[in-house]
Amino acid sequence: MNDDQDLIRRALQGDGGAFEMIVRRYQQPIVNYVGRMVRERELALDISQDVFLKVYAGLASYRPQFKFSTWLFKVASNYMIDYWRKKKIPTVSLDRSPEDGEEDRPVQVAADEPSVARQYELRELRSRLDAAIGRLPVSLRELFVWRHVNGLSYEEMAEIKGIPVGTVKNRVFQAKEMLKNMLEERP
Amino acid sequence: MSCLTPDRIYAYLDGDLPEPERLALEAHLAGCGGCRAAVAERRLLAEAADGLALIDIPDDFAASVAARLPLGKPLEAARKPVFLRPAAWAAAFVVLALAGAGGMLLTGASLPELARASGRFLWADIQGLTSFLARSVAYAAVAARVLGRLLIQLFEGFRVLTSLIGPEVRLACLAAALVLAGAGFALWRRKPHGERS
Repeated sequence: MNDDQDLIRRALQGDGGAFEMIVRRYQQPIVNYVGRMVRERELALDISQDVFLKVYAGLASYRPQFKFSTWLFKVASNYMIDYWRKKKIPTVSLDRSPEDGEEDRPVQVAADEPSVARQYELRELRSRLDAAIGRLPVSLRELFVWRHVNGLSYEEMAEIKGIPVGTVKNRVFQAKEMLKNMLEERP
Repeated sequence: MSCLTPDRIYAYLDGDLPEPERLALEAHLAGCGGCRAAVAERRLLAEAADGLALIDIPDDFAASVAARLPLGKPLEAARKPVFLRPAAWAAAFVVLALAGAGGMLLTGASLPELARASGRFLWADIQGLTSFLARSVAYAAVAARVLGRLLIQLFEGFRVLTSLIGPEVRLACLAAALVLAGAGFALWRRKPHGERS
């Protein structure tokens, strides 16, 4: 948004109100991202505050030729990587290939009706899906959340993570297949 | 067309397939209940994911971030390389001028004399450095020659040793080397990598 550049310029001149407006504009996407990563609302709010403070501290290094939201998510993602590192929670490499032949295997569905849909109503499905997201490996969870909760494009995600678009797509597909398999397990 | 793989289903749902491929896929779907269900299932999951509830944020969230901003401190600009900073150029000029003035005061020489003397001094340094580099290259060339001869002797020794063993043992050695190389490659492929954007 062009407004972003104006707010950033004002924030760089020491206008705290302008930065508060930036926070208001992006608080929901950042809290949604962090919240789905750590799965604890209060912790997500604390981390999101720290993310915005980091954003403020690094605002002078932001280059206007890039989309602000992309840069914001990059800061948040780096913050989360440090967070997992401190918590000693391993992140799976995005270079890892899917299991042998996993992508080439044709799907196997017995009946002419979605098996997941057979099991759950949409509301229950969402609730189970929300819980299942928390069981995804951190790096896949991040991409899935960006795609489906934050609505980022594959290109934006590739730019944030500095990896090819094809790799991002494959990892999002992999996350979805893992979620589908988790939901097919009996509760 | 054979039954769909998950990645093709996702590419279809993302609208990434070229028109002819999309049409062929839809023709297949019309006649394959299993694939139709697989697509419907993944579409439903995507819809469920897109509609996940937003996390509730307190009204004062932005205000509490603003309250923690270190507003008194100036924001640090991204650091440019030293040679792009005017201040660095100015500092270098000042140091040079001070050194020149100090030299003139201490030696009583004029500026052109001082410049000539400094030039001679620097030139002697450059000559010394060039001579040192040339000698280093010569020593490195001698070391490479010695190492090359040593390797030739090693290979010769290995050849003589291997000519003494029978063909079966040679084959076994070859097979063992292949297995070791394969295992090494597999281990290297499985080694986890850290992730950092």
